[in-house]
Amino acid sequence: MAEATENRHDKEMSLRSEILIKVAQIASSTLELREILDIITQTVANTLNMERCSVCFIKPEGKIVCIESSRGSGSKPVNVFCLKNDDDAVSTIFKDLKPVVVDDIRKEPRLKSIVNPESNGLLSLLAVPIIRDNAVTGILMVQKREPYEYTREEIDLITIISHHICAAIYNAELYRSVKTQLDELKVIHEIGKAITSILNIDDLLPYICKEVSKVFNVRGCVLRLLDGESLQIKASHGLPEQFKDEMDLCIGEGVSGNVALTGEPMLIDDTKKMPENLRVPGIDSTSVICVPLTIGDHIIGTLGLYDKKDEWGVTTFTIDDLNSLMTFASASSIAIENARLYRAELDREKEVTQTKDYLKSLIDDSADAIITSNTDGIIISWNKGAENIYGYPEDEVMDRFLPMVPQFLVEEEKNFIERIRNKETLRNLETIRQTKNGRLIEVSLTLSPILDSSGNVMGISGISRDISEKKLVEKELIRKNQELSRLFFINSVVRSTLELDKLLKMVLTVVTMGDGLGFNRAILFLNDEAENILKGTMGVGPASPEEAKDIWLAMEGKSLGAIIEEIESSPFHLDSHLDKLSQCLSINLGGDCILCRCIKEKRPFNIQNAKNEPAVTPYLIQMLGADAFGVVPLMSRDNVIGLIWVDNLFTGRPIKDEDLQFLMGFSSHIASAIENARLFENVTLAQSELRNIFESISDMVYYTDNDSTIKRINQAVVRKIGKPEKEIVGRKCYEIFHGKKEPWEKCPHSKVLNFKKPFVGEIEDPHLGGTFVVSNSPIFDSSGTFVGTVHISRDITELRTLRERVVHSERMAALGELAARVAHEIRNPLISIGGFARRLEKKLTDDTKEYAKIIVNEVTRLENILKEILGFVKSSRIVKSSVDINEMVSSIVTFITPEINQKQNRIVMELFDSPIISQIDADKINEAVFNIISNANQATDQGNITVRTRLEGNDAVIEIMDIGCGIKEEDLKNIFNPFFTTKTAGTGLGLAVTHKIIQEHNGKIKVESAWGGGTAFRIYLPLEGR
Amino acid sequence: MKLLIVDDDLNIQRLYKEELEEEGYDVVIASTGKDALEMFEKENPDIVTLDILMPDIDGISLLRKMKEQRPDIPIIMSTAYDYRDDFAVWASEAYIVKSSDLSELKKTIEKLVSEQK
Repeated sequence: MAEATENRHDKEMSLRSEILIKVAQIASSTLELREILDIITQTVANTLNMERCSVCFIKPEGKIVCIESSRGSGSKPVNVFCLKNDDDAVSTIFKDLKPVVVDDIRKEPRLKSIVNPESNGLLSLLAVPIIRDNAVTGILMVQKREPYEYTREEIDLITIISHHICAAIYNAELYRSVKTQLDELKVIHEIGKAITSILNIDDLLPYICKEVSKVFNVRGCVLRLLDGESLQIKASHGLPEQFKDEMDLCIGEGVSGNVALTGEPMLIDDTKKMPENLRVPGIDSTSVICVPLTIGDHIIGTLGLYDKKDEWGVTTFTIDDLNSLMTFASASSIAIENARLYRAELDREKEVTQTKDYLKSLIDDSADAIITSNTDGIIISWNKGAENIYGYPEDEVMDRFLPMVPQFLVEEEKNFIERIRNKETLRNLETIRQTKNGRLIEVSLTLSPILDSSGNVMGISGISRDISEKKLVEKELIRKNQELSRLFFINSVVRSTLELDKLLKMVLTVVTMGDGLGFNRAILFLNDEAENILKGTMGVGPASPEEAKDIWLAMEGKSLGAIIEEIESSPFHLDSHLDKLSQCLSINLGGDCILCRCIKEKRPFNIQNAKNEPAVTPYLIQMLGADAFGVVPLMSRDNVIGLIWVDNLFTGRPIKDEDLQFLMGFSSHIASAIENARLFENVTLAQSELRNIFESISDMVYYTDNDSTIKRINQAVVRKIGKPEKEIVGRKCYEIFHGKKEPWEKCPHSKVLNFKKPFVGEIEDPHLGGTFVVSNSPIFDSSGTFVGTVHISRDITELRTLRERVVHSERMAALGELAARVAHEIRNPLISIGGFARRLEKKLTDDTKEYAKIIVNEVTRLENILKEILGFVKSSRIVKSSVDINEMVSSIVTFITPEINQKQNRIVMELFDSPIISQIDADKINEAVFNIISNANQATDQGNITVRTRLEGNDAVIEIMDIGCGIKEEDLKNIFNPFFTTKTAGTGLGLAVTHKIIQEHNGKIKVESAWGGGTAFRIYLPLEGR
Repeated sequence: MKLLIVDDDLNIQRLYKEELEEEGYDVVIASTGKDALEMFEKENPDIVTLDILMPDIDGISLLRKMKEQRPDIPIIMSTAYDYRDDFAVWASEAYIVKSSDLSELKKTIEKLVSEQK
């Protein structure tokens, strides 16, 4: 038995070895993993006589254990099924990493699912974990149909086999990975080959996207190329249509932008965890890889892939993917660059072709002769233009020396060729050429060297143009131009100055200058219509042949313009020999001398021989010493204003009719210039006169526009307003003159604005402080539109005061005279009457003595009245002292009370709280106030008279109010006049004296009264020194 | 004591003469300026009263001429006007305003007489 056991053991040992060798062999073969597993399971099942041997792999995604390979002993495949990994047995294996041994499944109901007795009735089980990196990756199981107790050896054996399987798996994975990568690389290589063979960039880019998407098995691919700062999508695959246009990025923006910025590839496993700044709205992707497209160090774009897929859906990108994409990207970059270069090359080629075509047609169609030759002048090309100009067809001239160069210019031509050989370019030479039929033509010629690529002169190109026609036109043009410019210059000269004398001098200078009309001498005669004579005004020209020589020598080199400028800028003299000579000339226009005829007939005369011309007076010949001369009338419109006399005394050059015609044409300009200057002189004079008048008027004079804006003012305004002119002009007149914000209805100007008629008014203007007589007149333009107003404003404040004073003093003087007469005529009789009455009174003893006394008393009363009158007339001095007005009024009231009581009136005093001290003549003011109270008393019956003192501003005020009969309105204005009285008794001087006293104190007196309603007098006395 | 009264009014001449003679003065009268100058020389008065308003020569001129001849003789200016503001009358010894009441004149003469003694 022991031997049998021994044998069995031996047998088992050898079996085990056999299995292990076999398994090792199988595992190290390069077969597919599935194949390896099938052979292993088959071998184990057969060798160990197992009902089944199977291998499960863990698929983590589905968390299930699936049977990868399962073989029964009958070498038939067993149904493949999967185990749930929450099965107890499985979880035990996973947890403990140890084999699970089940002798009889029926005793282990929790392992039912593995064994699945219903389907195959396998009752025993040995399950060994396939462990890799300390984790279970699968399970190796053997099963028997009957309950079976697995030996230690069997368990070990199976465990060892499981290690082999593990190694096989590892190998297989490695193999597969290498294979995959190889495949990928192969594809990339293929694609690389393909893309580098695509030269059209429009085809290339989509192809790249499509292929790369396929190779990497991704949802989408985006290829962007840099254009300046912007990353534009040039091609894509799998990208939703609508995003293509919206997803252009800038450098630094999003994943692609970042890659383009840094040049570093990026791999993003989970876009949800991506930093905010990398996010780009649009594609809803999970994972991304993106690599730069570079040429050398230069980034040209990016290539991005998103959402890698495998058989279970979206998966993540690996570093290998990134590396592969990098490889792919570099191939793509090169392809893109090639395609770009290719396109640029194509474009350039197209351009060159176009340029060539253009040049060719240019040369063919050019009207110019375009000829090329070699450096010896042998013709190589000859265009249509050359044929047209020179008459030779192309085939006649090829390989010949320039046939159009005339014989006499061949040497010069060789000279040119020599210069061009030295790389000189000769432009716009004007020279002569000869046509085939022998005609000489003028041409403009440009010769330039043709250089080869190394810069050596290999030929000559010549462009020539027939300019014979042009030359003719040009000559004509120059002549016309000279004529015109001379005329224009003369014209501008004579119009440039408005000073008449200078202008005339210039005119004559122009007439005598070589650049001008070139006469030797010129004299200007002007009409004096008042005297009916033609007067020599000035002359220009030398006095003698010697002087002529000197002058002309000095003039040489000076332009007419310079000389005119000299005249213009230097002070003016009329003292040349010819000036003086011409000013002696005075010709009666009534005669029939040649000058008079020139004026009358308004035409020039060209006198060739003065001595034989009866119309030329000997006087003229004698004075001017000329045998031949010309005269030209100066006409402004139809008016002949004078004439110009010209001769060539020193050169003796005959005067041509054309010269005179030219002068004639010119004379109308001169005449109108003279008229202008005269007019200007008059206007200037008138203007300055007006200006002077305007400025020196002592009244304020100013203009306003139709909107009351001040346009112009005179000095009087500046003085009165006290502001500089610029602060007045431009402002509103009512603002400046009346201090108002809108037109003042009291100013006559407001009426002018309304009625557009002149108005005059006297206004008292507190703003300017005075009384003004204002005269306003509307201004109308030539079309009758009201454009503004002229204002004349005279300050009559002083005048009015003066006037008032005069009236008053006249009145006083008249009164004084009257008083003196009264005094003289009445006083003496009164003295006699009174004196003798006194004597009578003394002498009489009876009743008559009483009569004498009455006479004495009455005379005394009359004498007092006289004294009063004289007191008013006489100017008496005011002697001021400090007086308390309250105190003064009190004493007056005390003094007058008996008189008031007599009339059964009552006097009421209302005095200011504190003393009112004023500098006044107490006696006089006393008299004034007394007069008023006395008057009030007389006007009142059984009523109150109120006397009140108060302060108002800088004045002490004394008010006297009664409730008496009052004063009639028509009498009010007279009450202060002397001798005016409404009373039956009295001199009528009381209020006049009062008024005078108050005025002498620089005070005011005001009266307010209504007939039957009482009267109030108010005396205002300035509080001096307060 | 001789007084020369110069006045062109006959009634006033008489009034003055009677009143002043009653007072004990020797009174001579001149009606014109010319007479006044003659009598001034001839009569050799002790005191003169002058009316300023005279038909031929005015009182001021008379005053000046008399003062030139005899500055020692006091002169009283007498007129209807109050001329006291006028500088010229200050050359006179006294000034009175003419009135039918001669008491002021009499007082003035008395005063001048007492000053002369």
